[in-house]
Order: sequence, then structure tokens, then C-alpha cells
Amino acid sequence: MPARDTAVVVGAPGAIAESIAALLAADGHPVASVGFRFAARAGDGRAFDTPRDGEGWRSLIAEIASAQGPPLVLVDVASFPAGYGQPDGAHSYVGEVLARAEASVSAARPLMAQARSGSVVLVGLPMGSEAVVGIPAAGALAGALPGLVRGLAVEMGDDGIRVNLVSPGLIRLARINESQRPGDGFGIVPLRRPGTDERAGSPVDVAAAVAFLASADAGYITGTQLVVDGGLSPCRNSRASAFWEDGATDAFERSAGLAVVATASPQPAPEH
Amino acid sequence: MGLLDGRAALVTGGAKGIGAAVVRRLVSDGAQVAVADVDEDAGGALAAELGSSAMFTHLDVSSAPAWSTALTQVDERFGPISILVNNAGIGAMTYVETFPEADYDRVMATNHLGTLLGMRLGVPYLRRAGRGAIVNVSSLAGLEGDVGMTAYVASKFAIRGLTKVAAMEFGRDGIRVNSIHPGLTRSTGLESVPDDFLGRIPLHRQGRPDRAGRPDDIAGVVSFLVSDRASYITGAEIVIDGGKSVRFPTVVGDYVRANSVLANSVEGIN
Repeated sequence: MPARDTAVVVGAPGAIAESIAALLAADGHPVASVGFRFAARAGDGRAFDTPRDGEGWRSLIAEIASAQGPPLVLVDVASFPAGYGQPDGAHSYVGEVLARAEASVSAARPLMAQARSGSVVLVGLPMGSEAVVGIPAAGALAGALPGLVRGLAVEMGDDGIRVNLVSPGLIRLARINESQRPGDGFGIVPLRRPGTDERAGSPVDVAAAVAFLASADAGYITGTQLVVDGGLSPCRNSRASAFWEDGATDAFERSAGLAVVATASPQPAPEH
Repeated sequence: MGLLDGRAALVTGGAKGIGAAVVRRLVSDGAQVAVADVDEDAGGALAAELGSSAMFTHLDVSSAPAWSTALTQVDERFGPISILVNNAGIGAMTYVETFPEADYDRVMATNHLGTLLGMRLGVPYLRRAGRGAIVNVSSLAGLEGDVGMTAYVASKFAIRGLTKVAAMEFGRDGIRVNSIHPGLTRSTGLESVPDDFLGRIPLHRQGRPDRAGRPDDIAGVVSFLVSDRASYITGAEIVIDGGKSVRFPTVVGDYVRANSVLANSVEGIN
């Protein structure tokens, strides 16, 4: 396996941050986790506490660089807002998320600029890219992150540094897993996993998107938002799509009085 | 061992440029790949070079009977495809006020109808393969307008829309459909245009002579999208443009600032 750049993964304890750190380590990146611990099955994994200020970030990045090599991959996984449904919590929550991302990027940027190579990946909340009813702070963050990523991408492009956002859709986390069967609550997601009824994503899906953006295969991608949501956000959630997912398209066409020009039934491929 | 071992693929417009880079990459990832193109010389030579993992099949993507013939040939050789890359595309300078209808129809037949026919006639094979991923090659011109590109922009916006509909319709079969949007890519015919041809590009990578993309940049993204690593990504649009489309569009300031002789005289233009 070719040598990979050292990766710093910043986040709170949780399945998504832990999956990202574990997959990057499995792919051969030396990994430093900040704010959480993860189980590295193999390779070089270390855990650190979250620094309090810019000076703390600079010394942490220097420590990681001397122990594991210059961190040319930086991943910041947004934490959930502490209080749900608080109408006045958005500004402080969004401010905290952006402040941490800016502090870690500022600390890592000089080493990336020196190498003329770097990949910054921000990861939004696993709720889709739409505003979320009852959690205005989450909706505000969903609007803020794409703008921050575009601004940083333009700012740091001359140094060969790429900046992108991963926007997870509905991801099956442990606490949801316990109370729901596959398919429950995720019926509006167009994609069904082959051979199952599962429509939710998994933390590994998010991790794989981050690993891709950190890799040379994404070497010309910057300033973008990679949506990992099984088609949730481009889906219109129309009456037609609901019937389609239930396999009852013919009934929909009849009930809506539509003039159907062709059957919706799939045609088999010719056999040889 | 590769991420795509055991998979069969068809790449339209696979003989040259971005398509050929995609063909090479999918073969190196372990797939068996059909080079589908109207250019028999270039396509045949590429398939011959790649040996038993590749074949050439003649395909005019705007013709449904041609699709049926090509898909049958590929199925007989490699089994049902689980990867379809609708890459074939053409362009023409056509202004809104003066476009010749024949040129408009020609561009739409290849770029728009060709992509639709590929999905319609190819999906039964993906379904039979038990899995599948489709990548439709749109363009920055599927996200932005430009002067003199009436037919091209219309066709590339159409590909983006078709991709969303197909992602919703095929999702219940576990088949994923995504569009990619390359910016300035140094492929056939664009080897020597200036790299601010489509506008200024923020990203400047180490060891690169300029800020343009290369066919390999696109092939790496296709490789990811058709692999199991992207198994929850569908209906998405992946922009591969070095950040060109998010560049703050201070066009006059940018172009003038790029000229050091004039730089001092336009301070404060932002």
C-alpha cells in the first residue's frame, strides 16, 4: 500500500467520527483523533483532547506533525446541537461549529501550504441537507457549511489545498438502530440496498466519502458538497414517488386520472 | 485485486479523451470494459492494447437499435454489465438567436437522447447483474450558462435532470445513478486553450503546469462512484472543476489582476 498522508479527525464521540478515523487508518493513513477515541484495527492511531484556543491548536498540530508526519488531511465532523428545539440557539451553535473548524484549519494550513498539498473535509450533521423541523440550529448549520467550504476553497486553492463538504443524509446510528427495524422511518429515501429493505445509510458510507475526498482520486475536486443520502435531497417526495416506492404505480396513475403513455413495469433483459 | 473485480462495464465515447481514461481506470480496478464508440480505429486500438479485459463495440448512442446490438454483444462476451458510463458527447457553437436547427438536433440526439437510451436499454442488464451503478457525464455547462453554447448547455442540463429522475425510479432496484460535472479538462481538442478559458480556477496543484484538469482526474471520480465505496450515493452531482464554479466571480478584477503590468492601476477594483 502506498504511503498515505497523516490525517487529523476532529469531532465528538460518535459512530460517524469513529468510522471515519477507523477507515482512514485502515486505508493506511496515520490518524490522530481529536475529541474522541477510536479503535484502530491496524496502523498508527492516536487520540488527543480538543484544544481550547488557537495557540492550543497550533501546538497540537505541531505535536502530531512531529510524531506522525505533517497532517495533510484534516477532517472536522460537526457535533449535534446540545438543545433540541431552542429557537434562540442557532447563532451560538453555528458559531461554535465554525470556530472549531476555522481554528483547526488555521493551525494545519501552514504545513499544507509548505507541502503545497492538502485536503480539508468538513462533515455536516447526518440529517440531510434540508432544514430540519424543530431544530433550527441544525438548519442554520446546513446553510452555513457549504458557504464556508466555498470560501476556504477559493482562499487556499493557490496553495494546492482542497476543501470540501460531506453532507450525510439519514444515517442509522446506534440509538436509532435499537428502536427501529430496517426500512422504518426511512421510507422516503429512494435507494434500497440490494437484497434488503434497508434505506438508511451507515456511518461507513460517510467515512468512505471522506476517504475519497482525502484521496488523489478527488485531486481536482474542491469547494463542493458531496451528498451521501441515497437520493433523499434530489427526491421531490411527491405523491408519485410515494406510490412508486410502494410498487403501486399503476394505482397512483389511475387515482390521479393520468393518461399513462407506457407501462411502468420493468422489462427483463434479453437472455442468451 | 481491485475494487471492481468481477464487474462488467460499458463506457460510451470510450475511444478517446475522458472516456478512454475511464476505460483504462476501470480495467486497472479489475473490471471488464466495453469501449463503445463510433470511432472504430481509436476504440479498436484501445481495446486491443488492454487485452482480454476490454472489447470494442460500435455504438451510435442516438440509435436505439444500435444500443440493443451493442448491449447484446457485450453481454455475450462479459455477461450482464453492472456499470454504465454515459460519456459520449459532442458540442457545437449555437447562439440562441441564430442556431441552425440541424446542429441543435445533432447535439441533443447524442448528449441528451443518447444518455436516456443508454439508461432505458442498459438498466435491464444492471438489474439482471443484481446491482448496478450509472454515471452520466454532464459538465460545468450542466450547472452554468455560457455564450454560444445553446445546444450544449441545454443537453448537459438535461442530463443532470434525467439523472435525478432515474435515481428515484431505479433506487428501489438498488441501482444508483449520479452525474459528474467536469470543468476545463485537457482532453481531445482542449490541449492548448488557456486555463482561464471557462473562468479563473482557484486550485493550483503541485507539479502541474497550469490549473486545468486532466482526463485521469475524471476517471478517478468515476471509479469511486461505481464502486461499493459509494453505495449510498445516488442522485448526486459531483463537480470536478478545481473550484472554478465557486470562484467569486469578480471577472474584470481577476483578469486584470492576472496581468501584472496592469495590476497596480486597478487597486481597489473589488
